[in-house]
Amino acid sequence: MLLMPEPREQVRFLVRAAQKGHRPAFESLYRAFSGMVHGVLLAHVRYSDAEDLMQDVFLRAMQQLDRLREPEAFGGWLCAIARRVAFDYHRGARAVDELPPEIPGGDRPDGAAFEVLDRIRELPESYRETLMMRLVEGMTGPEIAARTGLTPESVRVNLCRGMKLLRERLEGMQ
Amino acid sequence: MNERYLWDRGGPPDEEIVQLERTLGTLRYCPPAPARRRARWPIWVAAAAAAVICVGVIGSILSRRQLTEWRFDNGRQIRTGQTIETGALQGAKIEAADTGEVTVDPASRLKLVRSRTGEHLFDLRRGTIHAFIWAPAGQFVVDTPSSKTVDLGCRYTLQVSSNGNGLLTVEMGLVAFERDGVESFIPAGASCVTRRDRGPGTPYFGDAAPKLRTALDRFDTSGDPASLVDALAAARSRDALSLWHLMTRTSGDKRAEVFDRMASLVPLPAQASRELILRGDSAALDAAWDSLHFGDAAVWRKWKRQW
Repeated sequence: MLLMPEPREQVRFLVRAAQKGHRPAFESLYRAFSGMVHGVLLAHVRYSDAEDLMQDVFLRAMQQLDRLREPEAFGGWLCAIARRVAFDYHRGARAVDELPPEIPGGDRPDGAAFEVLDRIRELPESYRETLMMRLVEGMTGPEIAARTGLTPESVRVNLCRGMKLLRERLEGMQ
Repeated sequence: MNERYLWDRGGPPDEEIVQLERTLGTLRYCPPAPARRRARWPIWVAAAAAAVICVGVIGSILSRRQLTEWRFDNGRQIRTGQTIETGALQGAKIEAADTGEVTVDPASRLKLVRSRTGEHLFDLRRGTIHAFIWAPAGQFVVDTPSSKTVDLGCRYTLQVSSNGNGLLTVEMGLVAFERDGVESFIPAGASCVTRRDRGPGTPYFGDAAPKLRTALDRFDTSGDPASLVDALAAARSRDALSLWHLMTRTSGDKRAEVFDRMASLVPLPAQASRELILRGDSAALDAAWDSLHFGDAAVWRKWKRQW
């Protein structure tokens, strides 16, 4: 794992290096933050679109990286880009439903997983992204706080309240 | 639920969360394997790297101390005190990489009053702006003739008419309106009117019944007691948003009526008891708000506390 519990210095270093055109540094940032970005995208778009949009997010980040004046804010800044990419996607997207799980070729590893994904997307916005990062991307609360720049308290609140609401919705499914 | 396990996977595993992790883990993103000898980045990365270098050079040439981080989409930087006045047919778009972007519609007048790290103050005299802000809550503020608009992390549209009244519609996140201690908090999907003579009105969701909107309008402009009765009758559980604001703007028997209606529509936590709410206890009002899941009260408690 590139970013350990005290990632600020490393992020600052990597962002500064990437701003100077150091490709391996940007690659390291990509690896460290890709789970977070994927979690944010999943909170807003379908699974089948999220992977495509990953490229858009990092491309946009790379093009705008020189304007980021506070390298420590990289995680929150990247989250905002991911939300923006998702928003732009919805604005221009065609109304196409996601393939149902029983149809082959739908790129759906597990129908039950998509059911849960849909329930998470029904939750209030502030809980969606945090739960996606925790349950889908496997990040812990402290990792989510470190990557996104949110306070640990906010992440904890979002996780607990979001999980409580998710449980109610899942119970309603049964 | 084992909150410790949810937080950092500490303590005994929570069966339900473990099951969810297993199920959803199949959707986890797997970045491509690292290159061994030569970087194998796709062409788009190489192209972007070149662009970064070019833009960086241009940016350093353009930077001047009196200029702000805000730029037009053609790259031209905006100075403190500069007014953007759009024509009848053409709008403008400005952006600050660490803060957000603002689209200014035609026939609008927007002034950049102040811009420094952690604080960006604009003044919208007339017209319409669409703001998409990624800076931390409370850093992006737009003054209007009738209210101050404080971004709490979101995307929204703010309109100001020639008489100074305004309308805020929130698409993502949460926005606060404030004037002279009167505050309104508007979550995604909701709108709020602000009036030059009275400040922020009562927020309502876009899909609220016309009867509710009419009643809120009457209450905001005249305080007519009958309008409160009409508003309570027309409210659904989702309209607890409006009722919560009405609780903060009434007192005595009126507040009791609002509380009772709200409690009949949504479950309120024990900390938001009838007795405490009628006393105007701020922690109880916070707890009632938090239970609505429109956003954590702590978000704006950090910014400003007025009720």
